[in-house]
Amino acid sequence: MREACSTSGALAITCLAFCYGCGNSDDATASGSADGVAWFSEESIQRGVEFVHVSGHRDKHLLPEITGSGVALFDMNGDGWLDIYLVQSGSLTQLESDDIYLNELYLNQGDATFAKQQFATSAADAGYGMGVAVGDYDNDGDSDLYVTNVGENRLYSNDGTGIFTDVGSSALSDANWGTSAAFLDLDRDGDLDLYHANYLYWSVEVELDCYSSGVLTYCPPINYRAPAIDRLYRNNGDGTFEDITSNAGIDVAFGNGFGVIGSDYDNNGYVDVFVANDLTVNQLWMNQGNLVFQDEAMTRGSGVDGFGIAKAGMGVVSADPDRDGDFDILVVNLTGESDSYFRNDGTHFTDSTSEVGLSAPSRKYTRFGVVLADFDNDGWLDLYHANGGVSPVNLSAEDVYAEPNVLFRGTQDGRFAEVRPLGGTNTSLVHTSRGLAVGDIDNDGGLDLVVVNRDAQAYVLMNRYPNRGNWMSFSIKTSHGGYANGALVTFASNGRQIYGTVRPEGSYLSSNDPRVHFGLGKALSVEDVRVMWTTGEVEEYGDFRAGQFIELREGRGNPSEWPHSP
Amino acid sequence: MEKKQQYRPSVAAGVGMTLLLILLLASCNGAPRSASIDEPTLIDVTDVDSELAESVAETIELIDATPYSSSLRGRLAMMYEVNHFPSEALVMYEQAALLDPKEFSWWYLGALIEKKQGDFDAALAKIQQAIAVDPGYVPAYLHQGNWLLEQNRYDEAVAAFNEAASLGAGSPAAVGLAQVYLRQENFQSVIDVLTPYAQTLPHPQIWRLLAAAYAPLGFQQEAEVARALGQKAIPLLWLDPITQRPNKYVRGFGRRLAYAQSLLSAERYAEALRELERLQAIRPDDEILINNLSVAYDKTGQFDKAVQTLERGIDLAPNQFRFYVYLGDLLYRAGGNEEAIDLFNRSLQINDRNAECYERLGSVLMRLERFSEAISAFEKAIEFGHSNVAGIRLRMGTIQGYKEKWEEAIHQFSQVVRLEPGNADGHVFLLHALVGDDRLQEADTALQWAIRLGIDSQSLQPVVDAIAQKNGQVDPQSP
Repeated sequence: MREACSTSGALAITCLAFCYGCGNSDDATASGSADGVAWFSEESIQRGVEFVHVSGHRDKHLLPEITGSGVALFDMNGDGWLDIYLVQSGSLTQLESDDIYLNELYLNQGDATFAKQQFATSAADAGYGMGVAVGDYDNDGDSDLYVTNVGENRLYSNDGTGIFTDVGSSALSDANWGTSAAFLDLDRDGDLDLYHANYLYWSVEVELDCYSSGVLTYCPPINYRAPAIDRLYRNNGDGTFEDITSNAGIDVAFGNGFGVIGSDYDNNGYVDVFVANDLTVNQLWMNQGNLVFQDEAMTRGSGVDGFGIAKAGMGVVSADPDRDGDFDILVVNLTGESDSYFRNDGTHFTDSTSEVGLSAPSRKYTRFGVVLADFDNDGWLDLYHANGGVSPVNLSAEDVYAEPNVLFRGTQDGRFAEVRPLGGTNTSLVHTSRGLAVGDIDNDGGLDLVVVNRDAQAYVLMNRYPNRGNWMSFSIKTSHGGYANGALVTFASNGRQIYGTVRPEGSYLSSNDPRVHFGLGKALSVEDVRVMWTTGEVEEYGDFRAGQFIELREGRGNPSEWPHSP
Repeated sequence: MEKKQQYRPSVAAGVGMTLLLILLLASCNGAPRSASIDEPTLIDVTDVDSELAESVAETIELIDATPYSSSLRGRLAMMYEVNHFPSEALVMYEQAALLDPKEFSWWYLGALIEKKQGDFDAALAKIQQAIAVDPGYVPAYLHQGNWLLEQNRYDEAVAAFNEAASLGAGSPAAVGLAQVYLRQENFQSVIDVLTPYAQTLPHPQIWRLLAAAYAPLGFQQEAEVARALGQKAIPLLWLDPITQRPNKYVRGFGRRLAYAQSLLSAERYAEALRELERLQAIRPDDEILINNLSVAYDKTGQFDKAVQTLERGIDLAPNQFRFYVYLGDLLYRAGGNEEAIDLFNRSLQINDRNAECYERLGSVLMRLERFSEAISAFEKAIEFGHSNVAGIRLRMGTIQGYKEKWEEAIHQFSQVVRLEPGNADGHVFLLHALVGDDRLQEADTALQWAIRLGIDSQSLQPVVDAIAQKNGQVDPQSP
């Protein structure tokens, strides 16, 4: 099945080892409509992923216990296969001091089975874990990890082989309740800065007793009245960071931050930051240049929903499902509240949740993890929700918070339709799902999922969609060899201009496959591939046949112009 | 929750059959006694909520004795609804409506649950039934319009909002219509329908919608002002008394406490106090109850009882930092500044990241003109996430202005208008500070903003005069 990677003479291209033919994955078993068929199979045990999340809940309800933890899909040793880093929570009290709960790292053995790595000097991190961000912060060509905790956060430097060193947190001194984080080049200087969301100022001492359905449970964040300031750290370019929260203007607006996403929403060349807040107004930090930000969520229409309500924002994702060349924002919320689909209209956002068909079906469950990804490779982004309550859903169930996850198919009219079987799996999977990451674990051109479940085994959901369409996957890397977070890629396909970006951040507490995957439907090739680097430079790389993993390296293309959407 | 349907064999008839019967019987008057009727749905909460279990059992017993009573089944429905068993409530509302299709509440309350669960088709069908029973209940049309809007059924939504408007719904109907017009990109109609309300009821939602309509029509300045005035995240709500009906069936300590808190939020203090005093008999030492009880006493004019309640709380739980804050607040309002400061400091010794406490401490210190300490406390309040940063900065700026530290005052007021571009006080205070610092060009910009935000010219006259006077005195060549 292996073919040459490039149909053009673009010498700059590095061909990865995994070049498959166009479409027709190994899993293809049926033709025609896939209605009613499973899209995924849960294979955590078969693939060697044994991770079981521990919330540490005993008697008193301590708020961090219900928020779960995240997962990262990334290539820790540069072998071209995605490895899995799973964040463990653990215990918030001293009562269980004998138990040490560590984050877990699983090495992909080159066949999408995994071997748990033993930590000696590594990224095990014994803190009460929440989230993880991935990026090559030190520009040495590999992927490093930033782990958020309830308490001190940690930065782990990768030596390129998957051995991590805790490089300390003195520069990253915030010790509050960290949630999502994102490595983004916010000043266009070629290195990755770090945006870090905090949830609220919390300690065991401020905990409250709250009730739902007659039983004691976790309190809504609003009861604590203590939304915490997020943090922004500038990369000094020498492996150190500086806290510039105040100078950047980030300290003037607050929220109970859960989800973070970066994108240049106003096309001024600088990456902006959107923060999904829980029961507080979202923030849209518009990058003014020179690392100065202004929160314009309310004036640009993405702070609250169309009815003026600040919903319980959890996970967030940004993509271009309507293919109009700019990036929209989708925030997932609490049961009874619909998702918030903020369509980017260039100068402002419009709450278009009902227009995309999500107003009614998204209300059933409480959503945390979220991804927009083309699972069937038909060229239209699908939507996956990782769900689970924050107050008891079913008092007679073993896990009273458990809810099924939900999959929506992206349709050609820019809407989403709920897929049956529920969640796209033949066997109903019902847990309290939280962190969610998407990536091509088995390098077969189909996107897979990993889900962290509170106090339960994680899911590894392998894509089994029959007769997936053609696809393309780009590894977009800086001249140093690391993934170029925030770089844009575009190409023409079937007369349309398609846009994507290197965006590992998003979802909830998690980090996705940094490769940029495109479903192509029946298209056999992509033409005129161009990349806009975070510095603003544009390079052109030529045409490619579909069904390939292609690496596009900064400085190896031809200088070009960016084809803005009409 | 497991449903136990245990005492009649005809249970399996199910909701589908019920709905069919409803349709068949919709035109009947009164209870259709010849029809079969399903069992009431049961819940089993004996282990977790004995009070609710007891109430449910009592109601079931009554239904057993009077199986064709719509009101009893409706009562059970309301009991389920308000105690967070929505699916069971839906079934019971349907049974109640089947027995008395002319009872508005059963259709209406059922519709609201359907919508919350995301079944818009069922919600719309039920709200239509409710409207057929009582065409004069305005909130029904507002809900109907909003749900149709969410289903992208624009023409029908316009009809619903127009009906609401014809019944006197006012701004909520206008906002609904504007939302439809905005979706249809009929921007001029958005402006036409909202402009009459923009001045009389300047709700942020109205301004946000106006901003969205002004911009594409090229009215950029109007859009900028409207955006500034639309900054606050407050949804536009309307009175809907029918939704209060189930509240009297709230059962269980936790739910009743939450209900009492909602009464406090709604400023129904006497009702809240009655409920809280009843709860006190059940769990007198509950910390949240103690806090709420003190608020209720205070709001009903029983200051001494409010103080005593909190003092008892401190005796019971000396590490509960909130008690000190609330007690300090009470004493502060009664003029006990030093006692208040002491209590706030004791609270901060327990939890030094309480923004609310820092803000209150800052307020007392400001009153005592201990300005440096007040500013330090206010800074801490901002650092730890106080919800009203603009309000705190306004006070910090006022302190600096009082001390004629114009640069610091300008910094604070600039932050205020940056955070809340529609904050009229912020612009006016900034204007004064800029004039005080002889930064007259910037003052003119602030003045223009104040005028655009509708500050009356009479109140601005002194500062306008000051600008004119300074313009006469200041050398235009100076920096």
